[in-house]
Amino acid sequence: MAELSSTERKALWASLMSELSNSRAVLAGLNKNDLRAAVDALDDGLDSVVTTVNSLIPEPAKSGLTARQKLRLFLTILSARLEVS
Amino acid sequence: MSSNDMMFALTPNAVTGPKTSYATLDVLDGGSSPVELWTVLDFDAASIEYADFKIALPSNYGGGGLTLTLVYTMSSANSGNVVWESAIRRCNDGSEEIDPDSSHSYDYNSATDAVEATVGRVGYATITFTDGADMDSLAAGEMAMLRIRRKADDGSDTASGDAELQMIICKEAA
Repeated sequence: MAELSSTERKALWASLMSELSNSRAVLAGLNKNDLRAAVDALDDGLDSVVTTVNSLIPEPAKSGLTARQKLRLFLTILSARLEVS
Repeated sequence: MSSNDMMFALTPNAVTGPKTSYATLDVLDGGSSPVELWTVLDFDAASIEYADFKIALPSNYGGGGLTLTLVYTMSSANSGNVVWESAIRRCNDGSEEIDPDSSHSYDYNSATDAVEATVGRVGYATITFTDGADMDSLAAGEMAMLRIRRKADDGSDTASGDAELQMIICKEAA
């Protein structure tokens, strides 16, 4: 799974700011460069997170699921946690 | 002559364009009862967006230049700056062609304004024009296009999220 391109990161950053604006979510003390740095850093570091996610899954699911399926499982759990919190 | 006289005031509903890359007309809810509806133009933080207004200077304009005050709020930022820019296109009698055959190069004046420390608090940014070429030689009684933009790609424009233009107040320079 490749890193996002600079154009894709910019689009994601713009979309995120638009979403935050629409919900009037206050970004206390953060400017748009800080937010862009956060997007870049997370995308840069995501490969190591994927490796960790893979290592956490027990057999036989680890070998049986595709990489995409494992990430979807991870996202499903993450989304559920966001809904609960 | 400089007067500080009021020339005109514009609300977001008076916007006429442009056709693309335009700031979006939106409504901000107030907090009173019943709730006020503050019409605004949302200027994006990631790409340059514009708003055009047809204007005319009143007959009491004395040639002192203009002070444009942009009244705005922020939708999510409480730190950083917004870079506002404005330019005027004079449409004088028998001279200016304004259809698709004729392009105009807008010459912008700018203001870098620190946003308010509280989201939703009103801030005022001021852009000045000296009389003459700086305002495309616009004279009293002539139609013009006033173009406003947020220069989102400027290194000094650091505030995140939308800048919400509430009103434009134009006075003759003091």
